[in-house]
Amino acid sequence: MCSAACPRVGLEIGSLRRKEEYVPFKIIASQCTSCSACEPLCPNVAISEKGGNFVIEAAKCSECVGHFDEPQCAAACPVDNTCVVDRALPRYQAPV
Amino acid sequence: MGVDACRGVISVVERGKYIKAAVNSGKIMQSITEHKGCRASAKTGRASCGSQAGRGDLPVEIWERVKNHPCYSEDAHHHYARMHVAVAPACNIQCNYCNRKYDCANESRPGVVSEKLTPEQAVRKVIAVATTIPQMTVLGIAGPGDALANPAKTFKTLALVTEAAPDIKLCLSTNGLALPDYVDTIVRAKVDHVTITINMVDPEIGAKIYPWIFFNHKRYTGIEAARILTNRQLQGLEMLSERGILCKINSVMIPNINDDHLVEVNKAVTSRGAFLHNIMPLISVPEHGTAFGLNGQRGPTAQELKTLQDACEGKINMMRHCRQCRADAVGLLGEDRSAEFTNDQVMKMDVHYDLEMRKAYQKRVENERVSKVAAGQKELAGVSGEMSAITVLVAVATKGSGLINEHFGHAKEFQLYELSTSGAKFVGLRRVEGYCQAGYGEEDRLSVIMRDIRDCHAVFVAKIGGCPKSGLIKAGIEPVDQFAYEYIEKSTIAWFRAYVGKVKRGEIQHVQRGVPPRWPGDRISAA
Ligand code: SF4
Ligand code: SF4
Ligand code: SF4
Repeated sequence: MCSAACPRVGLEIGSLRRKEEYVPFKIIASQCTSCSACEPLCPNVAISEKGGNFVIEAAKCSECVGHFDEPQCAAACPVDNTCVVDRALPRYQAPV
Repeated sequence: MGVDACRGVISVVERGKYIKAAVNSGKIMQSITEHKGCRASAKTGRASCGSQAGRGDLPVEIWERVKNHPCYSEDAHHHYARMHVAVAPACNIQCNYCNRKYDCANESRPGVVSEKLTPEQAVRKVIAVATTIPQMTVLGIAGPGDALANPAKTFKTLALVTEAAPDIKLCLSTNGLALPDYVDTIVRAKVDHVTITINMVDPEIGAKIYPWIFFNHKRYTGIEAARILTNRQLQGLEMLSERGILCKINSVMIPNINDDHLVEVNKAVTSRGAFLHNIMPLISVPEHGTAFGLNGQRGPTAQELKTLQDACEGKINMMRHCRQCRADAVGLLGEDRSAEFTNDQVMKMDVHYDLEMRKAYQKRVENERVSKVAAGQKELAGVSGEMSAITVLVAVATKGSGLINEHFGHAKEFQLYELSTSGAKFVGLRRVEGYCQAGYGEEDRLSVIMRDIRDCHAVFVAKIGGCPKSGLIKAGIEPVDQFAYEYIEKSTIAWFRAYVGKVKRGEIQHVQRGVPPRWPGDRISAA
């Protein structure tokens, strides 16, 4: 049930991960052009504009797992390596 | 802005056909269609060669829609202004000639950044501009990214403007990737004109222009990306044509990548109902940080561009007066008053939409157009009897309204007219603005201008100083200032009449000036 309904991951029952287990993305502010392309694409509404800069709320980011094949923000961003995995945050289990 | 100075000089010349429209009690009637020497129309048997001069052979219904549009009608661009609002920052493809730190290079000149606006700010700006510049008839959404990659902002802006200023025509520009999904929304939003940038119809060529696209939640690269893009563009164009929306196709000419191929593009878009084709030169310098800028891809020369435009002319109107405006441009084509309308200033302005005032003003403009055409016709009657194969190119310094009203020393661009016994035909622009910046003295400016207009016999100005005057005469270009503040067509024809007369009487000898080199005409006509 919950696996079918879960918007986040759709993992098998029993292997539901806590949110820290996702790999949150971050936006490298110095490279971001504030073009807003990423913002409406995020299935988790994790991206917002804060004072002219676009930021990802790490707690909401699911790396798009269960929604799309690739992280939407990174796929749409015009500047390479601007939406990147935030290695500073705990990462318990990399998705296969 | 430093990069502006590096902007390429865009000069477009075209010879050939000529259409002249007469205006009769508010209705524009085609009075003379002279297409002697018109390669394209001779080939197609078509009576007209573009929307340059007036209505030409356009059906009344179409003419009514384009006659106030500065981009769609060459004649209108002397009288009417457009504005762009930069509400669409996002894009869904990557082009090798674009660096997204700056505006979209499809519709804007690269290297400039526009002030991004929310739809609410944009509407306020539209009303402020419409009140200050009553000849502003067209609002476009042309970036800085792709209008349809920002559907919420784009359509909200259009809806707000329709409500506040119902007489303003709406247009938008897109790369076409998202177009098929929004065709019906575009129709509902009462958009008059859509510009689609189409640089190729062959995915192999597309792969050299577009590194990737973002489509259906996926990033595609290479030939696959280009195939999706071209299919979507052509499908979108067909859908718009079916629904009666006028489409202009912009193509960026990239030497050795899509230059010859643009002839194919021209055929493909013509057969799908495009109304106007605008081939623009790639502007590429390393400072812009674009892929093409960095890898040394050059832009075309004015001559290469002209040759290609000539090769494409025939079944479709070619646009030759495009200024590659920035995404927040305001004013007549060729002028940019966006600095008067920054968001801060607009917020301070007392904006009140006065439809009656605008209507009255535009009526005056229409009357001006009528008398301009009539004056030109009258002058032309004097030469049309003469049989002379002479054609000469002249440059005109103008600020708009179809008048010779610019000082030689202040001109940022010259409009080129080709004069023959069939009249004066607008054939393109020569820009000089990039050179009049600090570091260049008068002397330099003069020699730059003389180089740029070396194929002209005369330059028409409202005023000119003694020094440049003698310099021009020495270079064989006649400075003409006795027609100051008069209509361009009437004056140039009057001058031409005198010129032909002098040649006839043997007072002077007609010499062809600076015939530019041919390129890549042979390859193109073989294609
Ligand atoms: S990776 Fe997906 S979920 Fe995370 S911020 Fe980007 S778009 Fe949102
Ligand atoms: S898509 Fe990239 S450049 Fe654009 S706002 Fe998002 S992070 Fe910034
Ligand atoms: S860029 Fe060209 S088509 Fe667009 S508004 Fe300027 S002149 Fe018109």
